[in-house]
Amino acid sequence: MDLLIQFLTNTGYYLATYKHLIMLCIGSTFIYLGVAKKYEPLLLVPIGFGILVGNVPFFKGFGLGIYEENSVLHYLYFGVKTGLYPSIIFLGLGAMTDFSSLLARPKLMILGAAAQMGIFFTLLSALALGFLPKEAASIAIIGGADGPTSIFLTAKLAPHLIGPIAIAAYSYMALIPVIQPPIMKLLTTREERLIRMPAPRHVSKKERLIFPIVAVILCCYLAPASLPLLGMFFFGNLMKECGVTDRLAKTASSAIIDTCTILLGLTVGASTQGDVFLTGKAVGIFFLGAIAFSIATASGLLFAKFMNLFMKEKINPLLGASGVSAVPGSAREVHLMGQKEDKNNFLLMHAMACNSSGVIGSAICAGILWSFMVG
Amino acid sequence: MTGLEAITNQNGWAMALVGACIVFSGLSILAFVISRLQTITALLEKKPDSKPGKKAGKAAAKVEPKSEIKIPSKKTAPILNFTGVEGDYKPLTMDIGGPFQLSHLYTAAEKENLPHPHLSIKHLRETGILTSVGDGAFIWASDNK
Repeated sequence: MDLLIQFLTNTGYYLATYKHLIMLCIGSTFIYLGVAKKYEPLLLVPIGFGILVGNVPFFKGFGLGIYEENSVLHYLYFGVKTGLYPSIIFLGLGAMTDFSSLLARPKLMILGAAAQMGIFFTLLSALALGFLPKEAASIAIIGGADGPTSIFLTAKLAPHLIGPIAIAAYSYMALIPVIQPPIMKLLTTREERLIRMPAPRHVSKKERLIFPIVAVILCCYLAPASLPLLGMFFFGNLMKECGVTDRLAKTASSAIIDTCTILLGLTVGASTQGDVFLTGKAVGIFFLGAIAFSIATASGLLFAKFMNLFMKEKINPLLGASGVSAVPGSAREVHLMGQKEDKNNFLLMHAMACNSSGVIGSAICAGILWSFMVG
Repeated sequence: MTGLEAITNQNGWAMALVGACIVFSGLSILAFVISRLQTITALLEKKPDSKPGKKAGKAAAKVEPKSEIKIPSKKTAPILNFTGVEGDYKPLTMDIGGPFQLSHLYTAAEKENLPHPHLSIKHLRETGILTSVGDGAFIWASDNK
């Protein structure tokens, strides 16, 4: 009888609190959004399930929880804490990215830079709300709209906030179809949305081959702290473009990135526990994340309009909204917004150029913020 | 501590301003370098063509002074001076003997570094100096008389 009672008091049913139940609801909501609504399913499904797994109450000392030494989840979480998974994910992203549209029209790279202003505005906002500098930098990087970058920087600067920051970043990335269109409509006129972009020129194989080499040298010499991300990113791209490592590029862009995405999502979700997530800080993080996304979108749009004051050949200012790093969701929204005004206006490839630039820009920002905080 | 005082205390203004400037300048420089990539790759592709080879040198020595190239109409005279071209090409077929393929004549002309072999052979055919005997074989009209 004592044995039975001891067993029952060690079950999750006995140990559960209201916080666990709330987190189970949040995890289930993420799974629902991923499966039923198809909002970023590759991210929300692992994260959602990870939240369910990570919020199963257990008796401490069994070596079960993600924060307990020698537990399986703890070993898998190693890749998040050290920044390994985000780096490997960037390898796969580089192997999947085609920079032709960016190389054909290099001016669009500046829109990617403009959209990163959301990061620095959020940094100031987070400091103003009382967050510590390292926490503020980790929250600010949400404005880059890049999940792996957010996780990478947070793991380095404020690992206790990985859960809420990762969930805020991925949630807002999934909500891009909700966040960006109203801002795009508010800050642009119909005439501006009707601007057609000229067809991009043909980009030679040599240019696509030289670009990752030049870019990694320029970017990483400028911000060496971005090396783990950009080094892998451009290496993946070089494997894709050189033509002699197709097998490696295919593996990086499929099996490797999928494996790391699974483990990253699951362990980030599992690390998101009620006592960290259900706090005032987490609410502040979500609020600041919304600001970060909005300011990033707006700054890209406004800078495109500013560029048009000096350019003979106008840029469609909608492209500024795709300067955030949310590939390809943001580019798709820009394209759809352009199509609403003119069905024959195809902005997708130009928007992808800005998107790719945003990936580079957000990684550079992460490196800059890391060196500011640690240096 | 919150508000603007917190930002100032944590050096937030400097971090935001300097960070923004670094990102902007970095990506602007990268954009500039990318815009020059096309020129650089074009230069790399041109370089092997601009080196003079031995054959080109010999051919240059044998080429007669040319007049300015104009697009010819059918009624005007040929652009290049084909005077004596039969004398240059006929000895090449002595070794072959009898009817020969134009490709053999062309290969022999290239070995001897004769200028404009393609145009010359075309001229020889059009003027009837080279006549066809069927099955792709040709003979010199002067030998046939």
